[in-house]
Amino acid sequence: MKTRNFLFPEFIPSTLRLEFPYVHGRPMLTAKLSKSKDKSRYLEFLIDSGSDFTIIPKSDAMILGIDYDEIKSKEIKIEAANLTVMHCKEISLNFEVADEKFKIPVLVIKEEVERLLGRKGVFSKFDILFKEREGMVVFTSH
Amino acid sequence: MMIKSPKISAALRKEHEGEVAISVNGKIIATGKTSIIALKNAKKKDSEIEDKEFLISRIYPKYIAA
Repeated sequence: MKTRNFLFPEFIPSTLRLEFPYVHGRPMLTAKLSKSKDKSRYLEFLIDSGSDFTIIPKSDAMILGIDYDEIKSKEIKIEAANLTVMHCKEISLNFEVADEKFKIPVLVIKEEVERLLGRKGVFSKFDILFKEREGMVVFTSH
Repeated sequence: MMIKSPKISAALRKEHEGEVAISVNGKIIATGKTSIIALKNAKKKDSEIEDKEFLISRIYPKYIAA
């Protein structure tokens, strides 16, 4: 199995291994998110294995050219870890990280919230290892 | 290609804790309470920011718990 540090990309092996150093002591991941090709933006996410979904606030969605009121899915309520109830709508967005591109379900939160990279659509594609002592997160594709 | 995360000094964190930062090549261009406000502030400093590859990140407090 080949290892690929995101700073020094090598050729893509059959089993892909991506290493992301912690940012400011936290497991963060920078990914390009988009609805359409012409409106993609780099966003920094906190990797949160306890979050069911990837979430972004409404203001981030606006930067991606998405109007919360025009998202067709039904508004639902979700609960944050501090028991706060938030309103959101689900949308499918293009997710691009280290030359890997795929679609993931994202909850656009009406209130201002932390950007979190949750499990759905991401954790099913990779085995994810938090190497706390080394300050690194390792994504290994199946 | 990956984009650089900005370095956050203790002074900057103290002043802008919890805000959104817009950065280019690891350098913070502007901050704001939301990403829309931060981008608006960034446009004031660099009118061509939208044509560049910029990163939207957050200036985290020293400790957080989900």
